[in-house]
Amino acid sequence: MNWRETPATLSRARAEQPLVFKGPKGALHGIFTPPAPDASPARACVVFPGRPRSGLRRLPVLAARILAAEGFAALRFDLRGRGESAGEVALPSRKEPLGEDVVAAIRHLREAHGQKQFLLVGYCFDALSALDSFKDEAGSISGVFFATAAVLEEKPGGWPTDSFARSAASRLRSIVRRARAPKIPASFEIPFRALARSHARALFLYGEQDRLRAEFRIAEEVLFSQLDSEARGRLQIEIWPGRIHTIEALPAVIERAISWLREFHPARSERRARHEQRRAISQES
Amino acid sequence: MLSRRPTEQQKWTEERRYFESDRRPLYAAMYRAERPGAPMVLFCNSFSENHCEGRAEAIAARIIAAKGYSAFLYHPRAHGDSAGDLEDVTFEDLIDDAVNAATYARSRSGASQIVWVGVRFGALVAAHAIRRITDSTGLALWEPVLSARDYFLKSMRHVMYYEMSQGERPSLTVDQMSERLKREGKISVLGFDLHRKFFESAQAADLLDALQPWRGPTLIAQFQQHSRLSRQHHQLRETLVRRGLSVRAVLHRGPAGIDSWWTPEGIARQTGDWLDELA
Repeated sequence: MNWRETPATLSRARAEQPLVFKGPKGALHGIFTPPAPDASPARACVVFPGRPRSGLRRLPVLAARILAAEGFAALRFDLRGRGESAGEVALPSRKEPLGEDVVAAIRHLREAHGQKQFLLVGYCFDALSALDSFKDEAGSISGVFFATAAVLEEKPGGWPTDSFARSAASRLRSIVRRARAPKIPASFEIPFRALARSHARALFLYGEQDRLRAEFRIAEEVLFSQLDSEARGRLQIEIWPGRIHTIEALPAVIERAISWLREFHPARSERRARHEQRRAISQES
Repeated sequence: MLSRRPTEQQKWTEERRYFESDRRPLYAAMYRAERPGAPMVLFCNSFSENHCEGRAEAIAARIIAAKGYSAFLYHPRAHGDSAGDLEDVTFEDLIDDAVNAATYARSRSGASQIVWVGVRFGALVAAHAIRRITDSTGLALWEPVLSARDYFLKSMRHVMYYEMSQGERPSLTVDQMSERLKREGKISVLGFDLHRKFFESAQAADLLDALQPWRGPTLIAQFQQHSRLSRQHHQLRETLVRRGLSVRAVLHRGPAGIDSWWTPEGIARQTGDWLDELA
């Protein structure tokens, strides 16, 4: 994908508006990119929660401008404790996603910018935070792009990083813990079930060689297997060869997010409908 | 976007907007304080990815504003929320952006004097920009990069360390990366692409050379966690003192095990105290 700035994306950069809105732990800061006035309206706002909002290689910045040039509105914002947002910085916790911050963003966009439908994009912990917002805002979310996040209560096999420093007792505890069946935490299961009950679509993206893929297999066995056919049809899973939880793979992941989000554009749906109609007519004749 | 913030000491307002530099919108945040006659504190951020440093600057700007000094943060072209492609950027462009930021910040704040805070690679940018802005009255160097070339080579070494930390053999040596940069025009360093155009434009940049004409008060803030100044920072201080400059050095004191850029409050307060002494 060519990520270079174009006149259309530069025009969106010129239209951007810094936002500040109230989050549960203080002010959250972000940048709203309005849709291009000359583009066919997508009637949806793409939300990128970030740590910070510019992300690695500025991909959320570039993606927001590309999508806005095609008619989407977009917001990228700093989750609490990151970038310019208020709050204490904390290591991301797989059991404590920051869905409340995403909910605050959605509500602000609705109240202050008239946005009604939302598409969420998250990679790693940001994906968990995006999904977590389904607890409170499932009705207004049309889709979530969920890339390579942890879905188990703890990392399978324990935490090797501090093994030298641990006492024998803590090592023993870890062995016992490892012997336990892997558990999907409520922080994933509850919003996942809210997603399944909603009308939203989702794309879950993992890399076959990533350790997180093994975690996601558990979610497939425990949660996806319980879905009815309607929900299963909406919740798509893509497994790519190799690894995607790497800095180098990120551009391809965000490129996939963009292509998937484009499917929500009404102009594309209309084009597809017309194409299928023409094909049906030609087959009949 | 304007919001008023209560503080322990002085009130300040935060304002975020884009300004033009070389016909491009650049993102800026102004922390406007009300102390009459105080200089404007302008942060020059590091090159490319600077997630921890970016947050440190935002925290520090608020602490400095609470002491009564307006502070100005901006994203240079092809950085953060600003426009532009990294592929096109030269070192001179970053200096132009810093100069334009200083001009804009002064026009918005009404301050006539500027104190520069150069953060890591931004120290090189600030050291060059300072010559082009009259009424530059102070220079704070936060964990300064002393040589652009060394900085780039270190970034390349970090790729090797990262690959080893992933249990892989380094795919390329530093020499091979340099060769590839020359041959293909860019290489991926952790989190960003290093382009030949930028590398060639910046590689000769040297902090002490750039500061030859500088005679103002200078602060060296060390973020790396040591109980004393590192050898390089010590040499920098000694050289500047020999040139007749007034130099203050401060060390980061924070909890061990946490990246010191996440806890910049101590350095920010000491920078504020240094500003008080300049007044």
